[in-house]
Order: sequence, then C-alpha cells, then structure tokens
Amino acid sequence: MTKNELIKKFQKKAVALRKAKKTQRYLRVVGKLKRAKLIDAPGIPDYGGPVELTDVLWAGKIEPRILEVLPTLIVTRPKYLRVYQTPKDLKTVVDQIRTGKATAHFRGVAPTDYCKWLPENAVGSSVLKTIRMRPDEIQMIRNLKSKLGVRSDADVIRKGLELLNTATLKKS
Amino acid sequence: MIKDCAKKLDKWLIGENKERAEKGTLPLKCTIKVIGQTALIEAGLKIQLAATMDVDLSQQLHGILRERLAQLLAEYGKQIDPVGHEAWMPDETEYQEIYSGKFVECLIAKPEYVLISKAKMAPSKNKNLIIEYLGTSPTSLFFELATKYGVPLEDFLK
Repeated sequence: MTKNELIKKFQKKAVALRKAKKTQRYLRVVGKLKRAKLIDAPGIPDYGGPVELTDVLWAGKIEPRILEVLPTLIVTRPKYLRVYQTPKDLKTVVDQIRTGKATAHFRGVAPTDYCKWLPENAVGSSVLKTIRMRPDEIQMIRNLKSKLGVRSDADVIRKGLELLNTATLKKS
Repeated sequence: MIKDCAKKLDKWLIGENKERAEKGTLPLKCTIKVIGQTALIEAGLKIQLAATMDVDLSQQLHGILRERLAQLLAEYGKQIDPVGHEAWMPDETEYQEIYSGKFVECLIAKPEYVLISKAKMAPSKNKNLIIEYLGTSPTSLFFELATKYGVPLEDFLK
C-alpha cells in the first residue's frame, strides 16, 4: 500500500472518530470526568448533568483513558453516574479495589494503571459502624466537612483519628 | 497550563535565588522537558485530546524544584508521573521551547516523537489517537520515524 493510499484509509476512519467525539454523548462523558478532575480535555466544558454508565463504557472505546479512570470514579464518586446494570468485569474490578486486592485487568487497562487514580484512603474495605452522637457534635462534623473539603462525615472522623493517633504515638 | 506553571516556578525561583545569593549559595535552575499526552495538548494538535491528570517529564526534577512544581501542577489538579521519565522516547527526540525565563526553561517534545513512542509502546491504547493523527495532519517525519522504529502503521487500520 502506498503512503497516499494509507493516508486516505486513515482519513476515512478519522472522520468517523471525529464525528463520534462531537456527539453530546461523548462530550457529556468527558465533561463529567473533567468535573470529577479525572480527565483533562481542553475545549470540552465540565458537565454536571446525568451520565449513564453505558455511555461511559461506549466513550471508553473511543478514548481508552476514560476506561482507565472509570473504576476510580465508581469507587470514589458513586453518585456521579446513573448505573442500571454493572457489567461483570467492572463489578469484579470495583470489588477487588474495595478489598484492596486489585489484580484483574479492566478492558485492557492494567490494575497499576487504574489504581493510580485512587485516593490513598480508597483502597481497602470499610465496614458499617453505628455510634450515637450529640446534635452539636454532628453539627461540628458538618462544619469541618465543608472547611476541610472532604466528601463525607466519615472522612472528617478519619482525619481526626489520624491526628489523635499521631499525637498519642508521639506521647508514648 | 504547563507554561503557566513554568512561569510561576521561575517567578518563585527569582525570589528564592536572591536569598540563596545573600547566603552565598549557588542559584537553582531547571529545564522542564514534557513528554506524553501533555506535550501533545500543549502542541495544539488539530485533534480533540483527552488526558489523565499526570504529567510526564523526560528528565526527573529533584528536591525543592520537584516539590514546588508538583504544588503548582496540583493547582490545576495535575501531578507529576513518578515513572514518567521511564517512558521510551526516540534518542533523537527534538524539543520545542514554550517558555524561557531567568532560571526556568520549559520544553515540550515535538508531537511526532511523542506519537511514535505511543504507537510503538502502547499501540492498542493509542490506536484511535494514531488513526486521528494520520487522518488529519501527518508529517513526513512521523512516517520516517515509523519506518526507523518498525511501527507497522497498517496494523492501526485493523
């Protein structure tokens, strides 16, 4: 095949790709991941509306970097996506991340590649623990949550525990 | 983004080096050599690109310079890839200057070299990127590099 023939074939394929990248479906997925600060895509605005998991998986076929960050999005921001049914391979990967033992590849993405986007405290499973607190303490946690910029009440308590643990270890 | 970070790093170093001069210490300076997807974005290719939030540098920065650059990149949600410098790049890779300050120089690898590295080392992840590049604005340099490094471009059509 000559160089020109090759270029013509690539041009045909590139047209289809560009067309797919201009669809609302693709732009919304990338915009959502931009909003989650997992993807950088100059020229595509952040998107705050609903996005379905099926659309993310579809967009991941066009831009594999989307698949690289998808497990992290599901683990750390589960409400970001509308999930009606989780494919088996994705469920396996997410379960493995939650137990701190990610070994399965996810649609060509190695565990080292999808795990590097996880925040430090996301690996390992957490279990339910119910405790009773006074309303003023609950309010204190809420205030700290916004001041510290963490996502949940549990994150505030985790931070407090770390500090208490460090201080206690220093004393002993 | 990376240009702004280089500018801010330079500005910071101007103050820092003034203090070092007063103490009789040698000034700090650095060259930031960007490769990977960030280099492609900065080059302004006519392709809609998406990148993860890591920045690959072909030369490692050390100590306080690395720390400061990491802080500046974090303002944009970015981070230095700790193994970015291990990525294979052709020996003859040419760089283009995007910022030159008093103590900081920032260079990006030319797109052809970044793309051939991606095509050779991770063809399946970068298949669509290569297709778009070859269907948009391929240069003869890219074809020369593909021949030199044994990258079968026809395989990207499969």
